[in-house]
Amino acid sequence: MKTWLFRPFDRIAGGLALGLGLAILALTAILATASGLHTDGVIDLHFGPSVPVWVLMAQGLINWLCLGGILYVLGRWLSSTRFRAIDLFGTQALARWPMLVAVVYMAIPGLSNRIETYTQRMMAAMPDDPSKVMASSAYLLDAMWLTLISLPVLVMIGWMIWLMAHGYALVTNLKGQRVVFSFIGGLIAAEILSKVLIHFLMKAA
Amino acid sequence: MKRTPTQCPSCDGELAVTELTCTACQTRVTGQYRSPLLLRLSPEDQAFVEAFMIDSGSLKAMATRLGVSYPTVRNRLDHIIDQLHQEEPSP
Repeated sequence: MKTWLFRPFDRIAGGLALGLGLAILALTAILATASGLHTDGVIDLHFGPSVPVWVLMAQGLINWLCLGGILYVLGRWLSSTRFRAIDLFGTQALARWPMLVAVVYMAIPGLSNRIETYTQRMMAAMPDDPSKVMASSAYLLDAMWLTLISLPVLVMIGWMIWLMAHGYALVTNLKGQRVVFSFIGGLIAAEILSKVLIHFLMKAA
Repeated sequence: MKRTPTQCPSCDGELAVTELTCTACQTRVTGQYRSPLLLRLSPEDQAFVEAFMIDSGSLKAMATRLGVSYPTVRNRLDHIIDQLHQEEPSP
């Protein structure tokens, strides 16, 4: 069980991982559309304006391909192992399954309204002058509730990042500092690239 | 037959063969012979190499048989190749 949760790619990779991963991307897009959520970045999940399902599908594909593409280039550059592209892209697609769980959680009736209410109340409390400290104790409880409600989503995103890193390390057979720094660098680069591409996508939609 | 030990139980050093016996006439040959390269691998790695040969060198077939992913098998093989390179550096 532990292997399936934290090291699933020891058991599954290649075409099967790719197929399952693409199905998860599609399902995430459908559920996110229904809940008014956007996956507008490799590790992002936000509420946003209502858009057709193809936009969410495109967001999912952009996120997956940006990270997969960058990690593929890094792996080819740094690793001496002759790894298969299908393993890297397959594991990176399947690594996104916690995002589906996060979307299902966010679809719980009433939850999105609560999050929006707390966020709006706190945003309204922000002073115009940025040098002033915001923290009025009246909003401390709101902040705590918001953190508590968001915690499962943060855990799922953390889990997803772990799975992405595990897939990358296993497929490229990189170890030590090489895998840590190249993955972090790749994730940051992919986040920026996906944000830019999704910005253009939203303009076109 | 017992498994051939490859490491000294006392200091973990490499064991060498110092005596060979003919199973037919019991003639004994003594000397200092280094174990074959594959014999110096751990029993698990030796089993892996055997399975690799039986599957005609197909990592895909091995992955299916062992119930693990292709990259896992590939990495195990790379690990063994690294060990062999360390044991017998290329000229």
